[in-house]
Amino acid sequence: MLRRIQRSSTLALILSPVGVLLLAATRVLIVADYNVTTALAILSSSGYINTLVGSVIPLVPILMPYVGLALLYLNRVPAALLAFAAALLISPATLSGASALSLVKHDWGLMTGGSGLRQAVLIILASLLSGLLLIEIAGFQVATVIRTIGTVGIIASLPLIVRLYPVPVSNSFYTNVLSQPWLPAETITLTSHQAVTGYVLESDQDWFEVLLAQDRTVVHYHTGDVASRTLCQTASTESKRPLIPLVPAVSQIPACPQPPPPGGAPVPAVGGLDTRIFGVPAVRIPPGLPPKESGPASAGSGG
Amino acid sequence: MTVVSTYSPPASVARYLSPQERLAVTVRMHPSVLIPPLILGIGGVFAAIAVTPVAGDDAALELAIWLFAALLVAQLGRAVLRWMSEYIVITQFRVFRCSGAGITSSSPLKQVDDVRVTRSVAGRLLGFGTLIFDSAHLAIDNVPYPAQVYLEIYELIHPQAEEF
Repeated sequence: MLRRIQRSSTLALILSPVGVLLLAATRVLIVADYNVTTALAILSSSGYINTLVGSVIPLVPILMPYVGLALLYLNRVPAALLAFAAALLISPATLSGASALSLVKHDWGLMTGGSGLRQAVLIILASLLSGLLLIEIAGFQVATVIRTIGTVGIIASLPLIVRLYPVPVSNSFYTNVLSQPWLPAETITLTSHQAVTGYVLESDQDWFEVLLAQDRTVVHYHTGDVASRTLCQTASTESKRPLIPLVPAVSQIPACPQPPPPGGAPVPAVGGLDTRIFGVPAVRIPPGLPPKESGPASAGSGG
Repeated sequence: MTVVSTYSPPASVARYLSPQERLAVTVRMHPSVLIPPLILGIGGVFAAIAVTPVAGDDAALELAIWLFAALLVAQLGRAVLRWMSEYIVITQFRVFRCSGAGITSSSPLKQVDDVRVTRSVAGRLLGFGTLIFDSAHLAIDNVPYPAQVYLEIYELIHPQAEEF
């Protein structure tokens, strides 16, 4: 065959600003509970760069094992090995290292078991494969041999990877992580001694702009009505450990208070303009209006 | 490996020849070019059979495994079709590779000062080699009957050699 240099435009597209922007926009919409207005409010408060970086970085550990598989299929073996190494160190795994080894042993038992016919077919295919592989090793470039082994290895390793790092769409842990904002959760205690859990999007000397954790709406609190702010950890962000943890799992961050039951707290209805949240004047961002231009009074008069 | 008669080139080759061009060599790639996709196809089916019990009750995972194996088998089919329609053609003017998609690579012979032939271990066992045209920065892998093809090209490059 005539040799020529091949380039992967697919990989370039994924890593290009367009691909990163698409990923960021997708995650902002998930965080905003698919509400475009809330997403725009987050974007205008956090700034484009913060939103972009903050949206993409949390996706990295989750998607890293699958990025490794994709790179392996695209014949980017060194990059794939790096991705798998990174996944071992940073991607939250559903099992510990010892349990994963036990799982591998269990899987090996399943693979080598089964009916006699199945085993006979496997032996025939393995013999054929070994012979052809020897010819390939003798007569082809090393890159070709590595690509062959890597591609077949994708299928062989797929069940293990899917169980160690479940696909986000089918696993509640990952969907929770994806739906969490990239900002730290905070327990905001108001002067009325009531506490809300949310994510502070922006604050100045007069106002706090907060994305409520409970229903993903954006509210404004006057600084005079906020008694204290404390970092907290929501249940869904209690991160699982990677397969090879480099840092001991010690977390001093307290858990966020559970949200009140429906009807138990005066949480305003969606679309309210001038309402009180836990006894404190708060402004829900009305659709189509800039959040910072209207205080409670003006929003109230507008509603 | 198939050596096609120079008097009746396949239609996919003949359409790219000018009337004054004389065919020296028209060959398909050596079938060894099918070895990598063949290994991928067989390996995909092998791995899918092997890991299917591991998937257990996860129908989506089992489907993904078999879809991937089917993709590898489809790649094998595509490689076979491409091999059947692809030819290495050498005339007194040029060397080119053509297929149903057209001429995929071409180089005029007047740029070629010399030609080398190399054969790997598998090439010696299975009967293929690599032709290297250093001056044209061109290499053709998986050439069947490499010694004969080399001599044909050599005579085209150095016609005076025939006189001795």
